[in-house]
Amino acid sequence: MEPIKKCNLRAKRISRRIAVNKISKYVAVTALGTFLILNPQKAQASSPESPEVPGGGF
Amino acid sequence: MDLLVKNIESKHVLWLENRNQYLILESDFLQVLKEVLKFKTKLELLEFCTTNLCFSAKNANIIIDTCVWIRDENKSNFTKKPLPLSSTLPNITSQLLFTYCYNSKRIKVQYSSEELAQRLHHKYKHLCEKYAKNSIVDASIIIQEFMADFYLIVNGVCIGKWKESDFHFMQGKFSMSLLNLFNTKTDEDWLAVLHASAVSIEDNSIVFLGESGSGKSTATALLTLNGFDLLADDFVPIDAVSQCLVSFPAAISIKESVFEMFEPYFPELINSPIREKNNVTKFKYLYPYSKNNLQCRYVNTKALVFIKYSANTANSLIKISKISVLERLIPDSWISPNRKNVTAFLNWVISVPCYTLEYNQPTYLIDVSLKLIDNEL
Repeated sequence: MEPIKKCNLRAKRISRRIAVNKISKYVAVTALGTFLILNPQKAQASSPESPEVPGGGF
Repeated sequence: MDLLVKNIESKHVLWLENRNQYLILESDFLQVLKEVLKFKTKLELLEFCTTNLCFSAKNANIIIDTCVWIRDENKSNFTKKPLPLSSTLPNITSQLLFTYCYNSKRIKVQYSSEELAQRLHHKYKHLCEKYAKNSIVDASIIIQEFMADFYLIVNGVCIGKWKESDFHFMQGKFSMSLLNLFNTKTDEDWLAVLHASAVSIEDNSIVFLGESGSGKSTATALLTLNGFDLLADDFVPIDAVSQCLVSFPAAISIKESVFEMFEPYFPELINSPIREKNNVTKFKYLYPYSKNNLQCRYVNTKALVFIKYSANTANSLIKISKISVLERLIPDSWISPNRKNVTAFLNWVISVPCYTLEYNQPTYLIDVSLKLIDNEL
């Protein structure tokens, strides 16, 4: 396995965390490579939307 | 702990059944983890690592400790909280009743308050027929707010309870319930539901993925003006048996930045109310449906495309690795926790060509999409 640079991993970890709402984890094992843990959504989700709905009505 | 391993490119994708968790590992790592999952002693593990894998004692210790951490950390959190019997909830007095018709099914939906109806009904209002008391329906759904919780009751059975902070999961479960009832299926019958948008031509489709704001819905709406049919927006189900994408008839969310661009083509947008997502993003619902496409459709997937629109970017279509696709796809999707379905899902990802698409002109998007459908790339 190829070693990875910690600084690169750190940058990637932060951006992914933001992107997936802290769902997945990147983990480094010094000098032995990396592994990645991915958790799928626990339930089906929709894009959230605000309860304030101006101009609504049926 | 049961293991399911799939070799993809130079990596191993491992699914841990007890936790419904995916690991992407390199080969040596997988071998050590397999030994750790057999609950071997530390001494046995050290011997395995130093003899079979030629690790130094120091590195062997590190990797063993890490594998033990994987094994023991974050143990199954599938303890289901008991749900109340729907009969213990107070009767709903609201008259906010609608009948949604799709795929020759009629689903009665009742909201307990006008606010709930405002938040949920508009995505499906194009499916609505006038509710008539005592009319025959195939199923019923009640969405009820009580003591700061939201309850979803399907055919008299409470199937979930959510707080306001998890409202989008309630919305997702509501969509899933409608999907199941429209198709006479259960959750077990689906491989996955992707946070994506999809368009189709006849029996073939393209799936657009990307973070919120990347332009999935805009691309979808653009393509419906150029010979494509809308298959689904925001919620793309995959059938477990056929591994086809299945249509889902929710409205498209059109963002504020493209209202003007679309208004000449969809005049109904002009007087449509502006809504808000996350208290920030303004959008309007668009209903590009005719009576002809209110039947369920099952279509093949020609491409998975991570899309990004930017006025300042160069047009490009680049094929990407399956591992990078899984890294982005899994955390953003609901994937069936059924072992057979997990295998099928991974095989499905392997079988579909995957790309990133960046574009600054609609013509490029349309041209590329037509070529993907026609196998010209």
